[in-house]
Amino acid sequence: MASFRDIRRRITSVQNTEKITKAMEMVAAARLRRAQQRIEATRPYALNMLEFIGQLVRYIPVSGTEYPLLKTHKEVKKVTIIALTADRGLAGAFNANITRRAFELVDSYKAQGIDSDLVILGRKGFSTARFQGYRVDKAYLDVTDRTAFLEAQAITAGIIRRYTEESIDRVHLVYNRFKSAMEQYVDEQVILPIQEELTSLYTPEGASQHMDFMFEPSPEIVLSELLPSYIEISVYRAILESMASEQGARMTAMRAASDAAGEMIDELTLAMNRARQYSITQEILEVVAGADALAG
Amino acid sequence: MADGANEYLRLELVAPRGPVYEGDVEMVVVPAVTGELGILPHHAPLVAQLTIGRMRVLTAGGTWLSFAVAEGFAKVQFNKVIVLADTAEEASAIDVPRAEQGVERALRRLEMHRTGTVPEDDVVDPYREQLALKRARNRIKVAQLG
Repeated sequence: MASFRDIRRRITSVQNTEKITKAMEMVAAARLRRAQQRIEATRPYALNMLEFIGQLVRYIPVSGTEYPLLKTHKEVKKVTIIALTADRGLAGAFNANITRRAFELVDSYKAQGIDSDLVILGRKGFSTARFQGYRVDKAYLDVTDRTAFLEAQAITAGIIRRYTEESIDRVHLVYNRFKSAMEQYVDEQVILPIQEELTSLYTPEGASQHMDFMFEPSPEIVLSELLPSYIEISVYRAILESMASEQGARMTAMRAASDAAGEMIDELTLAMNRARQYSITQEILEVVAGADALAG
Repeated sequence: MADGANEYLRLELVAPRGPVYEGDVEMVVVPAVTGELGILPHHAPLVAQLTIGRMRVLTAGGTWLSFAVAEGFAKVQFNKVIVLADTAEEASAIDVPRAEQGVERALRRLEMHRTGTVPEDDVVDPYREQLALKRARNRIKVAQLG
């Protein structure tokens, strides 16, 4: 049985850990609020962008083949998988969920004889991929909410160029979707080719009531520049959602850790009291035995 | 309004990070890819592709405002201009020392990429750094011009 003194030392150590996990929980809560505000702040841009594209698509009939980003490649020979993780851990299964899903995708494509490129955001995903021997095509580390749009643009520029020249045929995005502080789930989307939702905005009735816009430089160029912007904002939004999810996951993980530390302290206190009781009983027994021996 | 002196148009300047400016203005000058483009009240419907540069606004109060904007689009319709820019900052709100640090950082990282001296635990995407460099330089320029 551990001695009274050993147990007391362990209690102090657990108490210190509890202080840290409680502090981390509070920091995560504050960051979560900021991350949620960031998501909200993108809404006006995203809504305007969608309306804008909607208007143009109504104006310029989009047939599936004219714009490379709307075109589905007949045969899939190579794919890109974008995985959004965090730079830090201590957030429960936040990072592991993403890397697991991304690697599953890579493996299942491989089983079909299809090669895939990994684009990873976050140190955690980057080091896990390297450790497990997955080839990383591009990685973006130390992303903050200030630079997130730049990262989204850099990621998008790369995949768009390669999709347009048909050196990749499909692009997946794997990230933690933010539902609430307590709830995040892994979401996986195909972001290229652009799904029908956009092209379906085009209706013959809509076309007949178009406005007479002037275009600088030309309608075709404007639309072909707008479509990448649509991908950029989708990727940016996913990055922001992932950042909010990270804080939510960390808050939950740290709360669980603080609770566990509290329980451990209770149990150790009980054990400590028992150990003290035991040593007192032992001493009394020894004294009594000694007295008995003298009396005998 | 016959003399046109009190006629305004509505301007909304929106970036992914959030709305930047909204108000009634007398004139907007945007950096279109085809050159600077001035927009006055009751302009015909227009869609223009914008390049990185300086956007100027003559407010209803008669003062000029200046914004550093990155690539984007402008749409004019119903006497309203909506400018969607990748980044947008008002000249007086630009943190010049920060932008200068941004230039240095981007140059340093591009140099690391060029000479193959990127540390083991880091990754450099030259395209990202070029973009960051261009924007930081534009910020500094616009802040100086005011």
